[in-house]
Formats: sequence, structure tokens, C-alpha cells
Amino acid sequence: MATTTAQPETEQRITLGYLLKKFYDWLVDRLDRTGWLAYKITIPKRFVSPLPFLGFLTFFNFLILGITGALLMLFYTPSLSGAWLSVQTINNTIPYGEIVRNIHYFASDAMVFLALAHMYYNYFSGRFKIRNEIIWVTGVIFGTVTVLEAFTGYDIILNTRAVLAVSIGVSLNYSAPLLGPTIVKTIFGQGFPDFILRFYALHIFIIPVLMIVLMLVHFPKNLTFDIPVVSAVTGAVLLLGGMYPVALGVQYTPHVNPGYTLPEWYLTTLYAFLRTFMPKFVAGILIPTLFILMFLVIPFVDKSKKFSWKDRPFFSALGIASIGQIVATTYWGFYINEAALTPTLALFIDPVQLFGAMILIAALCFVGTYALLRYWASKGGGRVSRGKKPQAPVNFISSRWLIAVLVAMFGFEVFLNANAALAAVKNFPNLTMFDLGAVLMLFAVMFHLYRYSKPAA
Amino acid sequence: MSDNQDNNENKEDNASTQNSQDSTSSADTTSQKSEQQQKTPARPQIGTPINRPKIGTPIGTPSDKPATPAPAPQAAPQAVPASTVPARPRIGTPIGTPVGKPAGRTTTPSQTPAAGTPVARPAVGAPRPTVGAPSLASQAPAVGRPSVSSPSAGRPGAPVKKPESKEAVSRRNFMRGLIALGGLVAVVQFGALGPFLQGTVGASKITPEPIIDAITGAPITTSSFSNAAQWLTFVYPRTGNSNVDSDTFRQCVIIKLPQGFTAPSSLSVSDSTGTYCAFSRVCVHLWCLWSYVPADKRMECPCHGSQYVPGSGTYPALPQADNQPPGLAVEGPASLQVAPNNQLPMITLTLASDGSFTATGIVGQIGCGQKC
Repeated sequence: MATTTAQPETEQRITLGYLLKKFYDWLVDRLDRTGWLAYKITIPKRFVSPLPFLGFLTFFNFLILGITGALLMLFYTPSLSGAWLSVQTINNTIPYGEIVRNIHYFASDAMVFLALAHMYYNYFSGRFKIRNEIIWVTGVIFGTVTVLEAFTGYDIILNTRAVLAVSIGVSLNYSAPLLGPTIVKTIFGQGFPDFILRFYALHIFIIPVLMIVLMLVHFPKNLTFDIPVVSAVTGAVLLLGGMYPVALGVQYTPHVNPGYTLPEWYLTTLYAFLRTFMPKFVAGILIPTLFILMFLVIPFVDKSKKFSWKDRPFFSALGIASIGQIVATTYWGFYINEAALTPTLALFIDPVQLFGAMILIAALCFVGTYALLRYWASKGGGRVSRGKKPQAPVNFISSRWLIAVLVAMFGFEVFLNANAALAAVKNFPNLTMFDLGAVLMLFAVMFHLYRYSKPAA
Repeated sequence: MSDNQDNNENKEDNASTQNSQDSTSSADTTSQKSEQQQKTPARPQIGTPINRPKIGTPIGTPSDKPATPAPAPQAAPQAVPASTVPARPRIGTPIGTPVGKPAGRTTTPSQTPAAGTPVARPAVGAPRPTVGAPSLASQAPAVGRPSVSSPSAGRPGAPVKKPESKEAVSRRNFMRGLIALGGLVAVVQFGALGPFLQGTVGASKITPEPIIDAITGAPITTSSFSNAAQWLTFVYPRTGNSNVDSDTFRQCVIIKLPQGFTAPSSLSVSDSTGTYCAFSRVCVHLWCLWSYVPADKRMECPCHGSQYVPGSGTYPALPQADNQPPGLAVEGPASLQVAPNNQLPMITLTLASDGSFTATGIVGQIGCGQKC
């Protein structure tokens, strides 16, 4: 709230700065009537750990996805026969189309990954305890919705893999007891022309609107917008796009055998379960739902007053075990023995092996973490020291040299930008993306170097 | 209604006194403000609602006037003589108008509303009052944010009694129930929109159609088959719209059965060249499209490895597939699914004397099974 100070202003000369300040005050005062000032966004002037605001980084990727998604919408055709061709046009013909598409793709990967990391940070730091139960629960729902949004996104490209994914997604819904066929008919329609249109509607409107509504509940009042970290994450998205540009895939036609096809990395876990040939409802819906439910109820189970992961050996061990499960099943989902004689042999995952390994990994992770934490606690080293010292300036470099380094980096930034522009003219979108990513990374390093070496400035 | 009118009157009162007092309002606002602040150090923050008597309990809630059983919508807290209310600092300058008032209007010190006179309630969702002038709060009826559900916000400490008449309550409850029911009746109609979601863009009727090779576009006849082409794909039911016709649910396969294989005559056609069966190409496991592998004499799905038999025959390497009905899954996840979810839907055919095929119908439900 803009509170005016009590000091009388004397003989203020009307300068541009003064007018701008007046306008700013006026604006803030009026915006106070709206919801826009409800969130307090802090821009840290000194180095802070990026871990507590991974959520904001996730949100930033959401913004990138919104912008690039809106751009892609201008050229996309949501139809069974035209979708892949329109994506091909975006990729190959539209200027900067490949760049926009790659940013959209890798930002979605980054969003899923950051959301997961965000969840685990808050799990281990015990932040869900400080009256944050609603934020935690909506966060878990938000994560699930994020994966669904990413899933519908890679489906509407309509390459062979996408059609398989749509088939699997819809038929999993179909397999739900009693209501399955009705659910499919109501949500997805009655054939692939319907599925594709509805996946499109879900991807560009219905799920994003749901996500924005969830944000209003999920976001705490205080947010941290750390410029160098945001810049570095955006840079990483571009770098990945430059190094591993996303493939177009093979256009879906009913007559082309798609061969062995893997889903996106965040769904190979599900794929591993499906390949055990258990009933598909159990493998595809029940197991993931139980996993999500386990996280949903955590704040209502872990009710101790301890926050640090070191002080909560049981739940920390549980968290580590769950990470072990995710890693193991994700890796297993990727593994296909393509040399096998039949598709069945190539794809079949022995449930005894898979679940045996999962139980073994869970037990090892759990017992190991639990024992380690209890051992630390018995040594008295379990507690984190609370009193934090103010960050001292790091004088590893003299101010003169710092200026020299910053000038050199700035020069390099300009050079990379020019290079990116040249690459764009010569039609090397990969190089453009790589250079732009490097520029953002460089800016992040410059900012950090300045801030870390001169915290007082 | 009277509530609102009172509100308006009061606001106008405020505005008029404001104007009469504030002859210098067009002067420099900042200097005026600072002057004012010097006069009244403990000044409520601009933009916060001021403490003032709770007004206008929502119509339909019990009165907060104690010992008055009959609910009176316009009831206000007990009268506090206006003179006992200490002069309240004027809030609101042209820069920051107080919440809950139209812009440009302000309250004035002398214009604290006499009790019983409704004043504007802060808008719903207005910030919770954080700062109130302490001297004021101690004497004037302190009211927090008017909350719709709280009937006790009149005076702190004053005993609050609920209306005693039982009849009044039950009547009110009856009316409430009626309102709730009315709302339900008003929205229940929209349930009829459910079938909207179950509409489809690709609907077409199942009628007899000559089958056409989906790749070459030529009609399929018995002479279309050879050792190299033991299975051919076609679209059924066909619409002619390429967007709809590439639907996987419309993809079908006609297979010339291997030597020695048989199928029930209701599900197959045969002549001197051989026996032919047609299937939906959608695997009943997770709806991928399978392909026929003549070397194995089986249909195999690339996604998760389900395998189906095209007809009844013998499989030396796969004993469980021996003499199974056409379309049954014999290996892979589809074979582990509970019947009828383990057998491919089939297309019934007729075979003309010139060797041309006509598809006449679908046996079973696509994606589910032959006996679904």
C-alpha cells in the first residue's frame, strides 16, 4: 500500500524524474484497488539460492509457453489430415518457426522438470507445514495437470508417435470400470477426428484456464523474481533447442507401421507399467493415481513440528525412495530390446523383475537414508544451524579487474548476438538458438558476478 | 432499498460538508496533506476503511439489536450520540480516496454518521482494516470488517441474542430451502446440454459398401491378393472426407487366410481362391494399429506386442494359438485381457461372383472386442 510520508515536500522542481515518480505513485495507488498488487514480487539485490523459488521459474516457463503457444496457434491446423503438415510448415517454411517450436517444446520439458524439482524441494524442506497445506495440495494437482497439458501438446503434432499416445491415453480412460466408455464419449468424442479437436481444445484453452485458476490458489503472496536465474533457465531452454532440435516425426498415415515408439521422458514410467501386461486400468491409472495420492496426503500425515529433512528421517527416507522409484521406472520405460525376435519379447517387462527391482530400490533408498539420518542425529549433527550470517562481499577479484571482465563479457555478448543474427539470415536456426541461449547465459553470469563480488553495491 | 437510499444521502452529506469545509481543495494537495497530518498524528492509512458503526446487516439475517426478537433489515447498532464520537481525522485526499467511496468524495471529521444512519459499507473484498486511530477505536463503536455472516458485529461486549421466536426461524429456513430449490431448478435444465459433449464430427451410417484399397484406391477383388500381398487395408465406413477417413477407428484389414486355416462362414467369405476375413485394425489393448505378418501367420501390434490369429489353424511354435477363433489375441497384453476384451472386431463381407468384396457390417465394438 502506498503510504505517503509525513515530510512536507518543499519547493519540488518539476523535472521529468519528478513527473515519472508522481505518475508511478499515482499508478501504484490506483492499482492498489485491483488485484495486481496482491502479489509482492521481490527482485533480490544479492545472491539467494534459487531452490526456494523454483515455483516462480516454473511459472516463468508457463509464460514462455503461453507466448510461443499463441504464436504457434497462428499456423496450426487441428485436423487429422492437416495437423502434421501444418507443423511441418511451421518447422520448415515459416520464418523463425523452428525456433518458436523448439522454445515451446523445451520450455514444456523445463516446466515439467522444474515443477517436479519444486515439489521435492518443498517436500524435503518441510515448507508445506507452515499453513501451506492448500498450496501443497493444489501444487500436486497442478503438477498432474501440467503433465496432462504437456501430454496433450505432443499429441496434437499428429506424427505416428502422437497417434499412439492419443490411442493409449483415450483407451486408458476407456478401460475405467463402469464409466469408462461414457467418459471417453463425453470428454474425447467418438473417433480420431473428435479426439484431435478435443485434445487441441484441451491443450490451448481448457487446461491452461484450469492452470491459471489453480495458480490463483497455489501462488503464495510473496514471489521472487531473480533476474540472472530466470535468464539462465531461459538460456538453457534455448541452448537445448539449439543442440537437440525436436524432431518432426513421421506423419501419421494409417498404413505406416510406427515401429517401437517411446513417449516423452515424463511418461516412460507409465509406459514401463503398461509393458508389464498387467490389466491396463491397474497399470495405467491405478498405480499413478496412488503415487499422486501419496503426495497429496503428505501434509496431513507428516504433522511434526520439524522442518528440515535432516530432522524428519522417516519422511525424508520416503521421499528419497520415491525419487528412486521414479528414476528406476523412467529408465526401464526407455529400455527396449530391439534385437528380440517378436514385439512381445522386445517390449515385455517381467512384472516380477520390475516390481522386485522397485521394491528393492525403495527398500535400499529408505533404509539407507533413514539409517544415515539417524546416525547423524545421534552424532548431534542433524540440526541445521539457524542463525545465518549476512553475506560478506567476496573479494576474489579487484574492482578494476571486475570491470575488465564485465566489459569483455559484454563484448562477447554483442559478438554472440551478431552471430545469432547472421545465423538467422543464413537460415541456421539451430545456431541462432544456441547463440541466443548463450547470450542469456552470459548475461546471467555477468549479473551474478557483479552481484556476488559486490553485494553492497 | 431504504438502506441504499440512506447510503446515498449520507454520501451526499459527506460530499457537501467536504466542499464547504475544504475551500482550499484545489490548492496544492501535498502541502494540504502534510498540514493535515501534523494536526492529526494518528491518522488512519489512506485507503483503509474507517471504524464506524456496523450498518445494514444483510436483509434476511437476524438483527443485532439485542432484545428485539423481530428481525428488522434496517436495524442498526444502538444509538451513540454523535457528539460523543470524537472528532475523527479526515481521511482521504484527492490523491488517495478511501475504499468504499466513489472517487472524489471523502468523509469529514464532523460527519461521523450518527448511529442508526447507514453509511457505505466497504466494498466486498476491501482490504482488512489494519490501522485505526487508537483514540477513536477506544470510544467509538469499533467495528471490524462488516462480515455478512456475523450478526454480532454491532458493539463489542454487547450481548448478542438470536431471535427467540421459533416460528420465525422455521419460516426463514423454509424460505431459504425454497430459494435453494429454486436455484437448483433453475440450473438443472442445463444438464440437458450433456449430449452436446457426446456429439461427433465424423458420424456416418453403417451401410453395405464395396471395399477399396486404402493405398491404391482400386476396388479390392480376389485377384488383388498374391504371395506378396496377403493382406490389404480399406476404410469402413467410408465418407470420402480424407480427414475423417484417416481415423484409425475406420481402418480395416482384409486377410487371405493361410493354407489350412478356417473361419466360421458368418465371419468369412470363401471361393476357389481361398478364405477371406476382415478385421478392425485397432488393437483391443491400447488402440494402436496392428500389422499382419504373413511369415508368422499372425497379426502383431507394434506398441506392446499383442498378437492375434487371423483364423483357426495350427501353430507349431505357439501351441496356445492352435485352432482359436479368428481375431483372438494369443500373446501379449491383449491376450491377458478379460473376454470379450481380447478379440478383434470383424467386418462382415459378401463376395460377388466377379471376385469383388462388399463390407456389410461390423461385428463387435471397435477398441473393445468382437463380443462387446
